[in-house]
Amino acid sequence: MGDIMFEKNHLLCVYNYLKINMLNPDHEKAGFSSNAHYYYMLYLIDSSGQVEREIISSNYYDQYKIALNCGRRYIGPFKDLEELQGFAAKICEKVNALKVFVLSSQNLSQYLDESVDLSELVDKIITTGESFTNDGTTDAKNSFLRKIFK
Amino acid sequence: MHISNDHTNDNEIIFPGDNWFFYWKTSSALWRDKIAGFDSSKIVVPINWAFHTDNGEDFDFHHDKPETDLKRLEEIAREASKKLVFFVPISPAPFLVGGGLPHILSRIPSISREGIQTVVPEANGRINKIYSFYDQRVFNAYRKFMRALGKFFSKNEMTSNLWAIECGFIQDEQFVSFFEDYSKAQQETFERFLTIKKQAKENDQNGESAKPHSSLSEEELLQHEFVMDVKQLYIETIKEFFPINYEGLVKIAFLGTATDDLFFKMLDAERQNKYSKDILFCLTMNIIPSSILLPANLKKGIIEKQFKDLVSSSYLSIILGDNMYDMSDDTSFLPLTNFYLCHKNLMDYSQKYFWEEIGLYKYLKENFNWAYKINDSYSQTATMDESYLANKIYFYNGLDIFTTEYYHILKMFMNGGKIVVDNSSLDMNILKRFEGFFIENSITMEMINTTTRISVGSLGEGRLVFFDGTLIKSLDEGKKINFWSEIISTFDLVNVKINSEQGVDYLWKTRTPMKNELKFEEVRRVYFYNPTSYKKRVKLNWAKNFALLKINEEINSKVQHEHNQSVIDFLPMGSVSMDFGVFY
Repeated sequence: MGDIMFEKNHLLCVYNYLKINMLNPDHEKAGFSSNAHYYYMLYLIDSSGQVEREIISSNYYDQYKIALNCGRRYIGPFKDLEELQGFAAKICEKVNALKVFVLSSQNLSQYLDESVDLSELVDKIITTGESFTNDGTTDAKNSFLRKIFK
Repeated sequence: MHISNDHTNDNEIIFPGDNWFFYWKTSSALWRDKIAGFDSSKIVVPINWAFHTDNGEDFDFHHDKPETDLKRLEEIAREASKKLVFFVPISPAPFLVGGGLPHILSRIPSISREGIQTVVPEANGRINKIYSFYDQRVFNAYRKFMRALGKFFSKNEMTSNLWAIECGFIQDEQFVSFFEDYSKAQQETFERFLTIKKQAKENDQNGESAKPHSSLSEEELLQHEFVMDVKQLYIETIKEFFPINYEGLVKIAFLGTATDDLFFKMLDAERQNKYSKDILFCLTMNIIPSSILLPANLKKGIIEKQFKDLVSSSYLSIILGDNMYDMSDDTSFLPLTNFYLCHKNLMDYSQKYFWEEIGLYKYLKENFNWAYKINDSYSQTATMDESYLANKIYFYNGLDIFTTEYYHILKMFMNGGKIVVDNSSLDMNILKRFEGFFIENSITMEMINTTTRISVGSLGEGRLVFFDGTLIKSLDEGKKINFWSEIISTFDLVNVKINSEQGVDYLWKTRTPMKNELKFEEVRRVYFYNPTSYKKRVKLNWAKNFALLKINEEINSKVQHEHNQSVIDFLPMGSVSMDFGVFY
């Protein structure tokens, strides 16, 4: 078995398209309707565990001007996949992660089905999954290196 | 980043921990030596269905493979003065390949509530895929196997106790059963269940039957009923074929098998802290935590200490109703529980606990760490003994009070119990019955203005408090906490205030005093653990009803006494316990 794993400063996001009966009047004001499916993040994890709820809540409020109110774990709703991905990239910046890998429950299930061990699974996520790089971190790193080699 | 390979040795593969013995992992020629050399007198033997059959039709219990001869195993154990306890899974079992199904039946992958294929990341990095127990073929084959195994037990006059086990994991302070499954097989069986229900309803001459009074939607209720019914079929199968040996059902949470463990492993995240909390959570929920699937390095240190202190020493013997594990003089301590929060529907991550919404959960977590139990079932009948009810408060959500709970509450109240009820969602008929009871017994309801208005009925030691949950929900977080602080303080609970830095876990246990301690009403022990990689400090304020008796096993920790308080400094992975004599 190989031994490829994620880097310490990688962030992993797993989402699904769900109908959750948690919408309140605030949600409706923000354009969400109660009987519809939306995108929700199920997991947003880095090497220290789930990203802190406070960071997520405040950024969610910035994006939709409503409170995050969908249970203990989930993050959402998001109107479309692009908005969810944008949010993941924003959190990636906030927690200073290098990269966020964003994948659906269905994709994850498929990768799990095809993998024998964790390194194979990680390899599939890294090579075929969707990811967003935190340019800020890369720039900061580059400029730091540029200063050293000046 | 690279992961280290798990350095589990051969003996750890056969005896993976918690006194479990994997009989299929070693030659039967070695059983005698292995069992005789094992240091506990009780050995847990989980049954591996797939090991006894290739095709699901023919079963081997001693014919082809000598390792399938469970009678011989029992004899060897008896000769070595050991006692066996058999565990039979009624759900997919994460310690068995494919969840334990014979290969030929491993067809439909189990799907989690999040729509992710259910897998268990093994210590060595391999992915164990779990298959559905809802497939009709699986249930039929399961019955065949249990019938054959039951016959083997009775024919050979096997006398060892046998427990049905429901396997699961802890995630977000919830027990998630591996029985939970949203696969195609589950959906198809659920459809059949709905059709049968519909037919039964049509045949019912009365026509519509009223939706039971509950906080769950009709769809949730049907799903819940369906899952419980199917689970019951598996349990009944074991009861039917093992009438002599069957002891009951226990839930086991396997640390390291949660969905987020999969991600934590891929991200090489620190997990000791999480497992430490999971163990304590299990103790509050009457679930047996198991470390058998943790990598060898994680089983050591603080997790090992917690298992020794809290699980092996006494907890298993309480749950299994037997002196399951070797007892020492410390083992008469039982977990201290002051609060019982009754709550239904713990299944759904998207739902918030009612007790969370009204701030009680947060208040108890901050002030009475792990001295609470959350009951997801009302079937547990509390003892009505007065000494049992002392120092305990029972909380009920009005939505979940049915006739059975109504009588149960009144019984507890009349026996000196303390009960707190949310009346905002209480059924009108039940509310009227409560009022009728108070009038008949000439009990005056006292109205008290705290953060909101509450009404209190008293009868001897018994107290029944009604509050308006809807009002509490609308308060800000600070006011919710104040409300509960005011309410709880009126019950005069005897406890020590602990100021703990985040990351340190602690749990109280209690026991009756021994001969030389008769001046105390009870003796309490508090266990502290620092599962983090940081130094931590805890301050324990001395209370007038508490006398420090002794300090036990200061491991990577130091206790110092200052004015009116003890200060404990922990190094990473530090632990200590302290005993107190308590007088009321």
